[in-house]
Amino acid sequence: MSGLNGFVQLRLDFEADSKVSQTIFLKEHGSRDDEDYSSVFAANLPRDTTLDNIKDIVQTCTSTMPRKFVRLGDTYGLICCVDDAARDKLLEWCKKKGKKSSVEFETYGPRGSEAYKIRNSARFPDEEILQKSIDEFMEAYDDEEEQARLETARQGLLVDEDGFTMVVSSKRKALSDIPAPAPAKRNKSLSKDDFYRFQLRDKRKREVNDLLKKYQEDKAKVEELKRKKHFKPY
Amino acid sequence: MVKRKSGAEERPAKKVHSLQELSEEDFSSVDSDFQNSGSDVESSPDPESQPEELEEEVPERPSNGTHPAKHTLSGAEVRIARETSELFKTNVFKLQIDETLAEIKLDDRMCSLANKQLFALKEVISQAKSIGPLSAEAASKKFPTRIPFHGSKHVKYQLAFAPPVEVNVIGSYSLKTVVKQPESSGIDLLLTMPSDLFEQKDYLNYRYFHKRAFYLAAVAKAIASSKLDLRVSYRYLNGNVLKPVVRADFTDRKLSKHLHIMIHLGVEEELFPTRKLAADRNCVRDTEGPTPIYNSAILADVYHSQILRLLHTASTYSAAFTDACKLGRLWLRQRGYSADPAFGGFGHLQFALLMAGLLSGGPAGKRVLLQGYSSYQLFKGTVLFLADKELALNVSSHTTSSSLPGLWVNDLNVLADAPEWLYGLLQHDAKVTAELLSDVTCDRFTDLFLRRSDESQLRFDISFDVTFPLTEFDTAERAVSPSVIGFATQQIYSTLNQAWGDRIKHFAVFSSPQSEWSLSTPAPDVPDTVILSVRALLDVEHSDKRVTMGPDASEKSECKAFREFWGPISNLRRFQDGTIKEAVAWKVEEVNIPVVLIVARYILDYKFGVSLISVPSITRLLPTINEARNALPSLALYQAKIQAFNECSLMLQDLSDLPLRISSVFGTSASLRYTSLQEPVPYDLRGDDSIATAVMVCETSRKWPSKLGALEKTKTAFLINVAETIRELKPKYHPVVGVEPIPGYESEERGFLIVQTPQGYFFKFGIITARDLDIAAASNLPENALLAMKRHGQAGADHHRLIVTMALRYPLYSTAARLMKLWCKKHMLASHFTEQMIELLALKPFLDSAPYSPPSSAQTAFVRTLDFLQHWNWKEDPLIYDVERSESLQVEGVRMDPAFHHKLTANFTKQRQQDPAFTLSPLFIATKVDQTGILWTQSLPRNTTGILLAARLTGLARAARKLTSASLGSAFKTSTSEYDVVLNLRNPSASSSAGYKNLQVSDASKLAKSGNNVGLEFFNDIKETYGSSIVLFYSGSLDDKLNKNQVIAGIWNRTATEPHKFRVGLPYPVTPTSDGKVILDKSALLSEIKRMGGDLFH
Repeated sequence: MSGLNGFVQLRLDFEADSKVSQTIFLKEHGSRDDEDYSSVFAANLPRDTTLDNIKDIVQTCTSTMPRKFVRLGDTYGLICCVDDAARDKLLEWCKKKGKKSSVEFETYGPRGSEAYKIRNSARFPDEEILQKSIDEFMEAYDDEEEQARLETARQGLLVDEDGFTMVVSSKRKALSDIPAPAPAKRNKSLSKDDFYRFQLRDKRKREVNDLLKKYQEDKAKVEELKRKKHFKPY
Repeated sequence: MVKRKSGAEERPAKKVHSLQELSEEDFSSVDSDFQNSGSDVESSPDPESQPEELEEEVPERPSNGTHPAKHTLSGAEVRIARETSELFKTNVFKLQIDETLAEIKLDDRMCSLANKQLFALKEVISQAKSIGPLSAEAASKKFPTRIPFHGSKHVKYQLAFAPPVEVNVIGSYSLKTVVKQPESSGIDLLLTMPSDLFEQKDYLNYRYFHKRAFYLAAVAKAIASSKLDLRVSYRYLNGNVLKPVVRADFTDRKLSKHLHIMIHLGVEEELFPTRKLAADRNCVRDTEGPTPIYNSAILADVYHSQILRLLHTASTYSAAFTDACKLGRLWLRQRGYSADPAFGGFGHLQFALLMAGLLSGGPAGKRVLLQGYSSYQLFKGTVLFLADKELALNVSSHTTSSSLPGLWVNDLNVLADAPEWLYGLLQHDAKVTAELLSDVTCDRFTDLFLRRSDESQLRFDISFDVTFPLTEFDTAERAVSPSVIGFATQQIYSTLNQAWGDRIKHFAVFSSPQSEWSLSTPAPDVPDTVILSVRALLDVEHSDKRVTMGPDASEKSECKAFREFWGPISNLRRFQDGTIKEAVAWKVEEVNIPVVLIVARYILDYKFGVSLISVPSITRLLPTINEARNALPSLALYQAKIQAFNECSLMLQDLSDLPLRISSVFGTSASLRYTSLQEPVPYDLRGDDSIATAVMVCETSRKWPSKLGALEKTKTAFLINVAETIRELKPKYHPVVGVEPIPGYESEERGFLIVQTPQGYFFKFGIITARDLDIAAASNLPENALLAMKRHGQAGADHHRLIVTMALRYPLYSTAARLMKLWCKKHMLASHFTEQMIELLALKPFLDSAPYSPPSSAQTAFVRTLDFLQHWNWKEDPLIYDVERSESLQVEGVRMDPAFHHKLTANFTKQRQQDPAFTLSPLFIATKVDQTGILWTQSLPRNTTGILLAARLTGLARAARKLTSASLGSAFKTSTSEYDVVLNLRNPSASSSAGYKNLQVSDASKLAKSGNNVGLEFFNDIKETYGSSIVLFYSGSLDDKLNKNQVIAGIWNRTATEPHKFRVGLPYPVTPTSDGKVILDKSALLSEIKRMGGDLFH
């Protein structure tokens, strides 16, 4: 009775931290398209899992090598086995032994200060190389934009409901550059509101009502403060 | 149980007048009404009639008239609402006054209980047996109760006791202005001694006081030997050794908590020739010159009844008088004033008398307060009078325009004992209050009446104590002179006042009050020394002057006086403008010791041989680069860097061969706005913010691409272009271009340009365009990336400019903000709060200084910020700053534009509706430049950490506010005991050696190594990754690279540590539980962090 929706469990022992282990969850991956046949869905993986770690796991359990490891998220991914037999063997092994025996989880790749050193020196690439990569990118970008513009024009998207075609300067590269028509301004009302006696009376009434409302609000506010024991001067 | 006369209960409430309806006719009838009852109070020849009469004293507060009854019609409410807005500041203000007065109202039951005891007491005293006359020697030998008199016992005159001719309740109890307060309030009982016990010449040479002391001892004995439920002791009235009084405490515990009795002695008005007791007369023959304090001590005994009459007249004349008195009483108390000269000598009696004087006619007969005024108007009018000019008013006679300072009743100055400093400080406090009262935008009620503002740490800029020897007086003189401590206070005050000159605005010299003693012990001797506490408000413009200027060399006599005052350290000096002046130059050895303290230390030692005891300022805790310590004030170090930045900006704007001109450059970094934790030092990449960030804005162009990736790439290309141009045209500058992931959107990179200036400073520039944010939003960037971009761009530059303005307007803001940053860092809050938010918090005491003036010391500013934080109810109250300059005001933040305030309050309300659980931004701090109020306080994605941090901020501030100024340093101690997890980190980027002299930025690999902070990067990585399971804190801040050993601490998130359903994609490792659920796997998570950190951990 594995309550975890059909997952089997496998314990990983950390090489770096002998006292600690982590249980990962595995189950058969349903989809059978060309890419991920014979796959096992693995969850609750350590974030620093690499293909090397997956290799260690599959090899320990099935004595075969996995085809590949497709990372789907930080803590889950697909382990693609060579064939269905290897996949079944992996799951079977885990079902039988996963809770008792375990697989060593080694630490691959640069970590700590080494990893940050690599990351930080990548921030200062050679200027010429940087310039070149930008040039390449921009060239591709310009082509793409031009393409998109032509496409838009071809499809007649620039013709509005009334049949007018919007003329766009060729200098404008992107659709998003085209400004939306400004909303029409509303005319200010010309009628006066203090002309008739009834208007004045209403106004006075409104004022009194406002005053009263304000007073009642104030009263409620002070009541609230009182409730909170605000008026304690000492 | 309390037995009450039914008559007292059924008595109808006093006739109440709506304030506006009160006409002249009403007044006269009320007045005549009063005349009757007044005479009742004054004379009660028939002891039988006494009980009823005192029963009248039971305060029966009439319902206020303006109080709405429960089921009022709306018409009545309209009338009330209109009335209050005319008579009071606002409705809210009036309602708050009502609530507060109700809160401090003394329970009627207490009064009736006390009254019962008062009758009994009166009975005992009136029927006490006469004693004497006895010779003084016989009296002191035979009398079982000690006579509280220190003077010579070998005198010819004789001492005697006979029952008093009158027994009256005077003071606030009779005026019904007595209030509930933490310590019990006094019921002042006046016994008028029979005139035939005295001779007319008794006013001379302490004779009156000797006889008075014997009389008092007799009274004390009579009470002590009676069966009354009272405990009797002696005490000096307001510390005056000539004026012992008997204090009688109720044995009933409940009653004694609220009330006690003070028995005063008075004489009949005709007994002494008051003319001869005027302030300029000598009444102690073996001394020379006038004896004003001695004289006023006698006059006060003469005028007891007259003062009572004046007060009663006022209270019947003006219906709101008693309420206004209570407000005044509360106002004084919150500011630490009392009738005891040790605390200024201005108590509620003085306030009430002043108000009575202003009601019956102000100075030179000009009426200041009017009869129909509300309590608020009476209070405000009195405060305005105090604020306007130095206090000088004769209450009893308005025909003589008294020019002498003080508060006079005939020829008695009721402020005779008050120290000289009172006038200045009281006027200052009145000015502050007047400004708060005229604030039309914010509700200042709490600041005015509900909060104590007398704590030295908050109120003053500088404090120290002095142990002053009183040995100048011989023992006998000390014993009878009421003014020894006053004398010492005056000495210190006048010396410091002259020495400091315009360095200070106001200062006070407090002493400690004297306590009571029992009947069987002799009156305490005045000690050999007295500890005086000096507390000063500095004038920030002058306080740090290194030279005290004297007169011009040509003014011989002035120069002589100046040299005499200052002693050997005064010299003739030639100044830059060619003048030759007598002057004192002060040597400042340590930046953290203010010049005022150095001046005080010298002059007190030179004049009196006393040393001062002071606590060093906490500014010493600020990190500083060793070489820079003592050398330069920190502002100069910032200015040097800002100067270099400005030059660099001009250089960039001058570059001609670029496709677009750089039109402006803005700093966005703390070291360019005076608030980085460490003072900036060139060629040093260790300090926080050593590579200061800035943004460049180019001239407007439509050529920028409109997709994020292309836009950033184009910017980077432009930066490369800039770098090449600099290399070509400005060889003294060293540029290097780099790329980094966009914060919050790691898949895109953005470029930056680092420039090292010829002076050795580093600046890191990015480019912002007007459409950045629109394009980013269109590219569906996550909201935290958008926020980061906003902060990095124009909004950041706006904040920067605001803080620069503030730092220049308030020279102490810089240090105060740095202290705040240090404090946040020490409590690991700096790893969550933005620097900008801390800077905004530190602005509080400067921009919204109520109930004080803006501070003139960084430590005071810091403590006030903490005090604000501990009281800030951030769930319900926004923090809104008015950054406009207000001219020549005492208080900042009281002239906010109501429309602006209203708008931002509306923003706050809206924000709270959108964020009811505080998952976005618990704190709301708005200014003109950030009207959303949450730009610098929000954290995205929404989380529950924010509210935890805000609560922690409040808690830590509360803990720090419990510390005295001496122990304030311990507020900066880091404690890791409250965390679930503590990981020790070794930051490889930290270095203790300064050494990158002449570092060439063109050597990019070196910059990559030393310019970064691996410890912080690592922390930021894991903080984000594991945020949903553990809230992580970091001991370092920003670029803090001075300390290799750092700490990452964490608190587990409760939702993750409880068993829950498993779902794919949980951002933390879990372990299965027996019931098919999962639970956070703490050890696996920590192991993961440790694997990622690798060698960063020990």
